[in-house]
Amino acid sequence: MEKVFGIPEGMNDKKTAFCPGCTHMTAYRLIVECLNELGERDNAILCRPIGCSLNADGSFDIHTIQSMHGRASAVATGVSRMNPTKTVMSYQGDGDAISIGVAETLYAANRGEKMTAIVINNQIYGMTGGQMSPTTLIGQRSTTGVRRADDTGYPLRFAEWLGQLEAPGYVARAALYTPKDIMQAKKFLLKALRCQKELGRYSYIEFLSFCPTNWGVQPKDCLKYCQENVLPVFPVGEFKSCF
Amino acid sequence: MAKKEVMQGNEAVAESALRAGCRFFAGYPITPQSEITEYLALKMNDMPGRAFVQGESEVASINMVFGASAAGARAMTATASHGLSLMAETLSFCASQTVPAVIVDVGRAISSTDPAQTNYNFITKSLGHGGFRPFCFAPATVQESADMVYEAFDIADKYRCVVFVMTDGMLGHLIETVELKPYRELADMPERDWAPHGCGRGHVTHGGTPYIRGEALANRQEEIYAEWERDYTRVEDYYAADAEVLVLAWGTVARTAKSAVKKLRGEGCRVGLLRPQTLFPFPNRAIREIDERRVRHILVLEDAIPYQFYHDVMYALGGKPIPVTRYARSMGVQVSAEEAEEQLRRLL
Repeated sequence: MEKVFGIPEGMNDKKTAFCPGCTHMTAYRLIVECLNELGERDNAILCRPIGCSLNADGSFDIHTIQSMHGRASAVATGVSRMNPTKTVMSYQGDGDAISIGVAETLYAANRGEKMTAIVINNQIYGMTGGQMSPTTLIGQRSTTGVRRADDTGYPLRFAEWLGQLEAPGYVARAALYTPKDIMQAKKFLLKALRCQKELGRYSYIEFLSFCPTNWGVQPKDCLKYCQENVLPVFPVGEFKSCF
Repeated sequence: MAKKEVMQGNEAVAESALRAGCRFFAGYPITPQSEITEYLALKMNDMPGRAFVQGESEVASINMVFGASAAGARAMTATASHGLSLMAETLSFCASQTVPAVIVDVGRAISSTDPAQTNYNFITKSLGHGGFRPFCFAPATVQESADMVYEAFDIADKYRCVVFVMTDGMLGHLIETVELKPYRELADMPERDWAPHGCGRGHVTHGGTPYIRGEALANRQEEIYAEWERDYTRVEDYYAADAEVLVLAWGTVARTAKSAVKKLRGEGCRVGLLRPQTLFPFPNRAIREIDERRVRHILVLEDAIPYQFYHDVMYALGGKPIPVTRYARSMGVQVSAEEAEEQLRRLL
C-alpha cells in the first residue's frame, strides 16, 4: 500500500512540550515540508526567538540560531548578508515580532533583506502565561487585562502594514485552522520561500494559530472561536505578491 | 616596513578592522564614533564578501553583528556610551552563546559629546546581565587603537568572546601618524567549524552552538579570565622603575599625564606612570608589585566621577602601605596636563 501521509523527512516523532491543541508544530511541519520540496533544508538557517516555539527543540533538522527576544529579523539580516546563497528564515511569535521587535521586523522588511519572516499570530503571549499581545482582540481576556480600544489600542494588522512597503516581494497571512486553511498556508509559505530563493527578495508570512491554554478555550472549540472572532479582524490572504 | 599614514583615530580603527578581516559591520550614528560608521559605509559594500548595514538602532546593530558572527563572519560594531547601554542584552547573549564580537566604544560623557571614561565599570565588570566579562583593550594613541582592533579579532576568535577596544572622543578624533598592518585574506581567517552552515542531516544546532553549555560554560569563563590575566595583561611603564610618585591612569588621561610626567622628569623629579593597556584582564600583578619602599605616593587619575578605575587600583594594591590620592574630572570635563602636573607637584 502506498504511504500518503507520515512524518516528513527532517522531522521526528520526539515528544514536544507544546500544549494540546497548539498549532506551532503545524507551522514547523509546513516549514520542513516546503524546504524539502524546494530541496533547501540542507541549505537553510532558521533564526528562532524567545517564546513558545522553543518547545519544538530537537524535533526538526534545520540549522537554527537562537536570537534574543524580538531580534530574529536583525539576526537574520546578519546571517543573510554573510550567507546570501542560504535560505534564511526568522520564526517568531506576535509579541516577539510585532511588539518588542517591531522595529527590527519592519526595517528588515523595508531594507528588503533576503529572508523569510515567519510570524505566529495567536493573539497572546503564550510562554509567559497569557499576557496581552499586540494582536490581542478587542474584548479578549488576558492576564494583564481585557483589551479595550480606549486604553490599550487596537490589534495591530502587521501584514497589511508591510504589504504597503516597496521592498518586500511577498506578504501574506494564512490560518493554521482547518485542513483547507493549512493547505492554503503551505501554498503561501512555498511562495514566500520561492520569492526569497528565486528572486532574492524579502517575504513575510503570518500564521494565525491556536492558543487554547491561554485563551481559556477548549481545543475542540478553538475553530469556532477563531472563525467568529479572529478571522474578521485578521483576514487571510496575500497582501503583496511578486508572482 | 609599511608606509606611515596620517589618520584620524576613528578612521584608523575602521581601516584596521577591515585589514584584520572584519566582514560585517552594523552601526547606528552616535557622536563621537560616527566616523567609524561613515568610513566603513563608504568602503565595505564595495569589497567582495563584506557587508555594511546601518542599523535602525543600536539594538538592531548588535543583533545583526551577532547573526553575522554566529553564521561565521568576523563582525564588529562601534558605539558610544548611550548606545552601549542599548546593546547590553545582546552583549550578554554573545558571551553566553560564545559568539565572538568586537566592539569599539568611543566613550563620551552622559550629558555632552565630550570625551569621558565613565563606561569603565560598564565594560570591564559585566556584559549586561549574567556577569560575563569581555576582553578590554585601552589604547592611548592612534597607532595603538589600530593595532588593538587588529588583534581584537584574533582574541575574539580564539576565545569565542566579546572584545572591547575602549577609546574616547579625544582618541577617536585625534590625528596622528599610524603604520597599519597588512590586509588579511578573508580565505585565511580561522575556520569557525561551529557556525551553522545549513543543516547536516539529523543535525540540529542551537544558540550559536556553544561548545559547552550550562555551568560548564560558566566555569570555562573563569579559566579563560585566569589565562588572560596570566598571558595577556599589558602595562606601559613610563619612568616607573625609579619613581617615587607614581601616576596610574588609562587611555586619554594617561596620555595627558605622560606629558606632565615628562615635564617634571625634565626638572629632575622622580615621577613615573604606569598605564594599563588592558583593563580586563586588569594588571593586578604589576600594581601589587609596586615597591612600597620606593614609591611614596600613588596618584590615580581618570575622567570619571563617581570614581571607577580608582577602585580597581585599590583592590590590586591589596592594602599596601602606600598613600593613594585620586583626582578626576567628569561630565565632559577632562583632566588637563596642567592639573596632572599640579597634582604631582603637591605630592612631590
